[in-house]
Formats: sequence, structure tokens, C-alpha cells
Amino acid sequence: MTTPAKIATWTAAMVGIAAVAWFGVLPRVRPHIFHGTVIQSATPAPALDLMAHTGERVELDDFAGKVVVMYFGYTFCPDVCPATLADVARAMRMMGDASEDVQVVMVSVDPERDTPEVLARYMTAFDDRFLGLTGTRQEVAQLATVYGVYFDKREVEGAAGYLIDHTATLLVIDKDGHLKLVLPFGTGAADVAADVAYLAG
Amino acid sequence: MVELLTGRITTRWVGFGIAVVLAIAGCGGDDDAQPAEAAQAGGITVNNAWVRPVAGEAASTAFYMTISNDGSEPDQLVGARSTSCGAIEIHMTTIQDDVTQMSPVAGGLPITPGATIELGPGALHIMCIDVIGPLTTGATAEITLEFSAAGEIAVDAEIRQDG
Repeated sequence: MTTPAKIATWTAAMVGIAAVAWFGVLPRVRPHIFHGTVIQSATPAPALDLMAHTGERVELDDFAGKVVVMYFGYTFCPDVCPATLADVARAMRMMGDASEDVQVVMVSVDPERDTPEVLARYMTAFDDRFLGLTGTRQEVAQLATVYGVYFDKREVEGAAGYLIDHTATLLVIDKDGHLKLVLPFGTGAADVAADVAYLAG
Repeated sequence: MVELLTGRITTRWVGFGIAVVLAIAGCGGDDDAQPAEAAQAGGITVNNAWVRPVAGEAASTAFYMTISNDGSEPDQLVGARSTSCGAIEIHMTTIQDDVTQMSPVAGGLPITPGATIELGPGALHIMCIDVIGPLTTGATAEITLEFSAAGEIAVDAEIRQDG
């Protein structure tokens, strides 16, 4: 017998199931939406062997188990580099405990100016966990090439002497050591935090 | 040159301007800094001047601000000076295919009547070269802007890391 009471009960049950599915299940199966270009790397990120601002040689393996946020920039860069690093520093603060599983590095594309001492002062001003990396011009150029990063020193008129054009993206390497994500310049701190925290989680 | 410059600014203005305005509106910052006081001369008003902190010597940084021309005559930002900078230049950052390039703006920065120009990260900025520092967050750094019509305007820029 289909009574109005039964119909009402069934309707309520269906609405309840739909609500659980909508609010409880669907958000969990929806993948994280990244704020940059996602890369499905079949191979590990290219090896890295440079001088850290601490004076020690570092390799990518030294950061095993951490998400590595890698940027190619230089300390004399007044605009784009500090804007990016300031955003990443804010993102680290937003991430809270998850930031413990993140290593931020800047590879200097200006090894002439960027000695370990200069890099140390520059990087720690943003976040004392940030690490500046440098090497010979050839070492830096080789690394940039394998990561698809362009840079070119350009003489300019005026007091700056020379400036360096460079790819201004953030490269994010996941905990398994695969290049996972490229974030364009201007990705806000909250979006950087969301993506990096997701990969760190 | 002026025509070329104007062309560059009008084409890039929409994108960069919106980005900068959104950045300023959206950031809020966690440093709780108060907006700098407006400085004004002739038809020109300068608002929200700030500069990134610098820890060491021989470094560079950038001043950012909003410049409005509420007068009826065209004006031009032709230069600037600051006791915090060994040298100072107006620069334009462009980003194409993810590659950033920075170039001095030659011949000054035109500001037409009624126009507001945003100097912000990744776009127009005043590059401070050979910083006489340190520039410490929370303090201010003075900068004097030179306009062809309005003359000189001295501004106190907040030293802060976030726009």
C-alpha cells in the first residue's frame, strides 16, 4: 500500500541520501584543483648539485620526503623576485605545520653577484628556512636548461649595470621527487599555500 | 618615444592595473600597516607609497605607489631621488611566456589628465639601486618624485614586505 505517509518517508530518505552524497562524499572524490600547470612526470626531477648559502653542497636527495618549491632568480632583482619570495613566505605562514614538510630554494641566475653570504642575507629575510643556491655559471645554466628555465644577462643603460631576464615561475617538486606543478608569476600566497599544502599532506 | 611609451602603458595597463588593484585590495597583508598619507602638488596626488625592506648593502629594491592626475594638464613623472638609494630609475617589468624582463622607462612616465597610474609588483616601479640601508619593515623611507608640471613631491614610503 502506497500511503501518503510512506511517500513522505521515502522522499525524506532520498533527500537525506542526496544531501549526504552532495555535502559529504562529492567534495572528497573531487581532485584538488591546482593553480598552475600540472605535470605528470614519469621520471624523477633532474638531479641538482649546487652550493647552498650555508656553504654546503646540496643535492635534491637532501630534501627527500619534502615538497621542494624551486625558483630561479637573483638578489639584485628588485621587483619580480622579492614579490614572488614574499608571496611564498606568506604561503609558508598560511600553511602552518604543513610548511615543515616544504623546502623553498632559490637558484641564483646571477652567480657573479650572489655569493653564499649575499644569498644567506637575502633569503633568510623572507623566511629563515629558505635556502639560496648558487654555483658556477655553467652549473647554474645546466640546471636551468634541464628544468626548462630560461635566463639571459642583459646590459642596460643606467646604474643597474646589467639585469637578468629569467623565467619567473615556481617549480614544485612533490615528496616523491617528481616535478609536479609549475605556478606562474603572480600566483597569490593563498593559492600557493593551497597547492603546496596539498602536496605536502 | 612618448607615443611608444603611452602605447605600452595603455595595452598593458588594463591587465597589470587590474592585477595590481586586486593585489592591493586582496592582500591586506599581515603586517597591519596603515596606508601612507597622500602627498599632493599641482594636479598630482601620490597615494599608498611603499618599498620592500632590504637587509644588506649594495642591493636593490623597488618603490611602489599610486599616482593620480586630477588636474587638467598632462604631466610626466620624469625622475626621483631618495637618501635611501645610491641611484634611482623608473623601470617597467614585462612578463611574456613566463619570462620576466625589466627595462628603464626612457623619457619619463606620462600621466594624462584624469589618469591614475599604478606602480606595482610585476609592472611599473621605481628601482632603488645600491640601497643605503638597511630598510627595515615598519619604518618609512622618503622619496622625492619629480614631475615636469607639478614639480617635486616628497613622499614617505612605508617599508613592508607585502603589497
